Amino acid sequence: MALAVISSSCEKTKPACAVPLQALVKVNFYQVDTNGLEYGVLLPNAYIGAAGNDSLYAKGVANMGGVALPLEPGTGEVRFFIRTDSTAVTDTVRFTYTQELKFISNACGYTYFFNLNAAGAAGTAIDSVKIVKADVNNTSNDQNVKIYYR
Amino acid sequence: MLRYITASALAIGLLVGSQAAKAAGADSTRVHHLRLGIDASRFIMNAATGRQTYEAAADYDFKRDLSAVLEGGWGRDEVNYDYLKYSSSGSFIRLGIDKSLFTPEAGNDYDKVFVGLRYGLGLMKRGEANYTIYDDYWGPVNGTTPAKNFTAHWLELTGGISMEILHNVYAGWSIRGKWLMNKKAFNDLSPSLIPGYGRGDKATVFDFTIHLFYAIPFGKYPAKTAAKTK
Repeated sequence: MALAVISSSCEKTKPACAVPLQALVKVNFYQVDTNGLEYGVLLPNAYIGAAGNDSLYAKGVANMGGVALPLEPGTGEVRFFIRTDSTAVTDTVRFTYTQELKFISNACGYTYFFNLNAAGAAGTAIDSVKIVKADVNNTSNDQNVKIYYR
Repeated sequence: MLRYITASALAIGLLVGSQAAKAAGADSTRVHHLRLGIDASRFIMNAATGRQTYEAAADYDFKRDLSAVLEGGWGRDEVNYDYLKYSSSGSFIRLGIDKSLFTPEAGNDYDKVFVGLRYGLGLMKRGEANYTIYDDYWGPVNGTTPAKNFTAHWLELTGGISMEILHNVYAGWSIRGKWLMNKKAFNDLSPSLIPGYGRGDKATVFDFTIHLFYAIPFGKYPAKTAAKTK
């Protein structure tokens, strides 16, 4: 017991990682009223997937006002397909970015941070995409991107 | 009041006088000791943690209450988590001084309770690291970080006891607080083990030693030194 207490320098257990590792793009959905004022909107039954990935990232999520999207490491570009509900048209949101390998700690290992270079949209429901904070890391909850619906 | 002060002064005088006489008597037979030893706690910790560290020490009592200390050793460690795998190895020396807190009761009494200060220097290599970044959506990404050499500087405060258990054989223990002086050099993927210090990702660590020494008599204290000491 005494040895365990005073031997912190020798302790060797698999450490617990206490911080979120993955750097995700924090996206929120908006519309702009006739006066030019933006307000948040909820996607009633959101479906989100990505080109090159057979899995849906979000499947029928009700009342989605925002989402944290994972960028694909090593590619520099990713396209997400977004539907507001199961029967709605599919829009595409594209991000281009650079990545940086980041050491977090011995307990957590490495992760990637990203820097958004450009964002765009194709489809009928989404009007535009705006980058508000290009730095995508694991420490900030700040919004990175605004998606404006028509 | 005057009688009280006079009595107190007399008592203090007698006490100091008797201590000086005892010290002088003690020093007439007292010899310097060069002690060579090992830290036996490393073997216990090696078994408990899977690390390998080995440590030897030498000290020399250049004064009745002061010893110069040289410690050194070698260590190796492996990190083998599912997301990070690498090895670390290196060696170290520590230089310092121990001060005995009590006056020996006799010339051949070398038991001591001590406090000490150390400067540590470690040279180590963190091997090539293989990492995996887990991503629930895109899948895991594997990569490699090249090997890197590190130099560590640290300070230690220590305190403990040492007792003669057989003729010229000493055993004891110490506890130690250690402070890494160049923490910034270890901000990236650091060696998991700084030999002689402890975990490479910690700026402060606490440690202990269980030491075994063999003492080699190394010449008598000069009479002048004996008269001057306490």
